[in-house]
Amino acid sequence: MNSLAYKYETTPSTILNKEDLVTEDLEVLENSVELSEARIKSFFKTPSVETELDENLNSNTIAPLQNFQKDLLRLVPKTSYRQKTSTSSQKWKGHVIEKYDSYFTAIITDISNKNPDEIVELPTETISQDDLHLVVEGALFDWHIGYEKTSGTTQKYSKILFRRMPRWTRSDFDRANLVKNKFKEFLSKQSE
Amino acid sequence: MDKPQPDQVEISIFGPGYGECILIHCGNDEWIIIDSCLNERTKEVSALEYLNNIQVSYDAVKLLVVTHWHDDHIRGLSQIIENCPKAEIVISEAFCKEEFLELAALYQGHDDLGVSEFSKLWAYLYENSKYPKRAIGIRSLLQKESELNHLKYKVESLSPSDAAIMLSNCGVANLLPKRPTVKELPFLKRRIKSLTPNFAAVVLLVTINDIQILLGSDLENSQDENIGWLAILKSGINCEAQIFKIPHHGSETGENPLIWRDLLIKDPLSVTTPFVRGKIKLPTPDDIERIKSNSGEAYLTAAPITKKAKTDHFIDKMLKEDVKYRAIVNPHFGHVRLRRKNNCESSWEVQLSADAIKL
Repeated sequence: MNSLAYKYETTPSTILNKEDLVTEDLEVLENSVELSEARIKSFFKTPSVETELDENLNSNTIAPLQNFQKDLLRLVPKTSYRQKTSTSSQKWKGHVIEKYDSYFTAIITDISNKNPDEIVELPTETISQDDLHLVVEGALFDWHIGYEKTSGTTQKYSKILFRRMPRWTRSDFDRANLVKNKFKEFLSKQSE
Repeated sequence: MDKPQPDQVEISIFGPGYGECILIHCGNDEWIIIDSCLNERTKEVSALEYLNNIQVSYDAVKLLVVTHWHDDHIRGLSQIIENCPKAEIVISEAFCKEEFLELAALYQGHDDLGVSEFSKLWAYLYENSKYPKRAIGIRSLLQKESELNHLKYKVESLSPSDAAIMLSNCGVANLLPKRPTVKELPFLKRRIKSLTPNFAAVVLLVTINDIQILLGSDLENSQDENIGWLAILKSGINCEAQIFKIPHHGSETGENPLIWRDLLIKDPLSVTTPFVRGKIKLPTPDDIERIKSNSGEAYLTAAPITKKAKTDHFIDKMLKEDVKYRAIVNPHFGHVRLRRKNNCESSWEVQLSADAIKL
């Protein structure tokens, strides 16, 4: 995917300031046959775009932005996506017990329940860079091993994906407080 | 397998599924269950599976004692609770404190995070208005006397001590996630750790006529005489148990020579369950020697040895590329069964099933 288009497509808020566009970005925009020069100019001339758009969104400011996005989407090169199918032969869910510098230990449970739980030591290099910060004691992950077929070519794959666990929220604590108080009240009746 | 006679005492120790489980037939078809574990082969709750096999009604279970709170030690507990409605439930006094109640409440519905059995236990007690009996050192939990077969039995808790309860509350408070504030980023949800060392476990003394059974749970030893085994030893309890369920998988952390001297008869019959998690194997060869030297006879529900994990050939090959070490958790499972008449001097009849061994 074109990096500029990707940048704008996914994070339109980043184009609020002209300064956000580096020279090469502008070059790509200006060289684009599908994007009218006039529209780019009109877009950057719109004073509201350069000001606090987040706080003052209105139809006047959103409209050029939306049109601009549509144009940018056209910049995305057409890619012929090859059909990919994958078959998982083995699925585990696991949790980290201990974490060391170069490896971590985990207990994995076969989702199909056919095999007993295992303890494994995995080098951290098997984990993708994006997931490394998630490898902590108690973290949960899914591990799939299987075959991946891409345009007739079959390849083995092993994917460990750490779950992006949500954070505890205040409402979790509020709900827990209610439950805890019910338990406490219940126990206090026993003491009476 | 056959059912015990009404005048027979039976002690069945199962393990290690995850954790361990003990069943006691006090006599006259009255049973006690302590903790819960799964039979890894059948994936059944071992206590219920056994009662079913010997055709004992679940209604015959009169008492269920929960000595731990972490899922790994009480797997299948909620099934026992649901299936044995006539059983009174005993939990540690520590579980009734603010911190543990918060733990149960906060983790309710989070089945992957390690406390689901404990949360379900509290939900069950509350929804069914069933008040738990609270174990603390030293308290009588159940006492029965019957003319039928001249049966008289008593169940007492010898721990946790007051100091141990306070200590475990602090421990749990530290494990709990903090309420989000404006200044701090909220904690990520993740599996909760077990509390170690274990000073809040419930040690039980079961007396059936002239037979005394000391069930050591996972209680560990401490230098502090207010907690762990020293607190029990200093309590002045009158105990001369013939049967000893050795605490904490026979490890050194649960060992105190005074237990053998002050709480047991000479050369008692002792049983324990192993703990095998990768490179950690309990009891160690040294532990086994020590246990043998203190016991008349000693048994293990399974040998503390690892077993190589094996799956499909293709999976095994793939794993070899990535995995540094791989083994089955709790690879072996066994059952040690001890029986004896409750009203005359006779020797114990020992039966070993599955992977159980004599030391």
